[in-house]
Amino acid sequence: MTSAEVLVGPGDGHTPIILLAEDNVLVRFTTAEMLREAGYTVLEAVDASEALALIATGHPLDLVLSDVRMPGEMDGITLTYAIKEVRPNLPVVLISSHLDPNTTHVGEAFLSKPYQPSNLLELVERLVGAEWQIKQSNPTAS
Amino acid sequence: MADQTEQSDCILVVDGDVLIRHAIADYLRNCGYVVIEASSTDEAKIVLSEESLTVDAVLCDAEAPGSSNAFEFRALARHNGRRSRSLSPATLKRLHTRPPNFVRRVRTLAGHMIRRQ
Repeated sequence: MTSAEVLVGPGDGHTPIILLAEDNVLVRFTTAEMLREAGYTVLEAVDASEALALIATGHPLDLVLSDVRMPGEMDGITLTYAIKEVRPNLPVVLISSHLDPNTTHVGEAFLSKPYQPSNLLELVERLVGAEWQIKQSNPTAS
Repeated sequence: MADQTEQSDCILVVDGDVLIRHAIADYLRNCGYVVIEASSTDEAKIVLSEESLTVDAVLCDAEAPGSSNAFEFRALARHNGRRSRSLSPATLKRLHTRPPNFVRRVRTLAGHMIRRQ
């Protein structure tokens, strides 16, 4: 972990923070509002470069949700690899209606579109805080 | 589409810079507004054309990317019955130097636009 990163977790009593990368503005807004209503703080990115710019600020994050197909040089799968380079324990969920099940990725989970909101919320609840728990159990983990 | 039944005033923030857009949106959400973030005027036009969404005001960067420049977009937003205010690059630069003053001004501006409707 670099000095610019801030790692806080559920034990610190903060509202879990989710970074949502989705290029469709209506899907992004709808998904973000659903998560906000569930009590999460949501940062919105329109593509991978915006997501990486937000991560580079050192803003605390508990989870990344990323669409697979996005405009720009990076799709969601490439973005996941880039995230794992700097935050290896930060959980990433890939969302897509197109992903081949045999596609290799390093995300923690994959959610197929269309999905029920309850499925997304269950997945988020399960994965939020995973990085913090790894750090707590192994303080030397990067 | 997201439920807007709580009747919070909704502001569409249009800015191509994710850090500025996030700072403005975050502040406005903390003030109690529902905020829709758009990274370009093209995305903003999609939001305005969505009948299930009620947008009360638009804050648009004067240099926002997209096929329409901010002033063309402003005309479109007004045609659709929304108050729109373009922010100049000079104003946006103040975000980096005097963030509290800037965001306070954004909040005042947003409230003013909504009250005038």
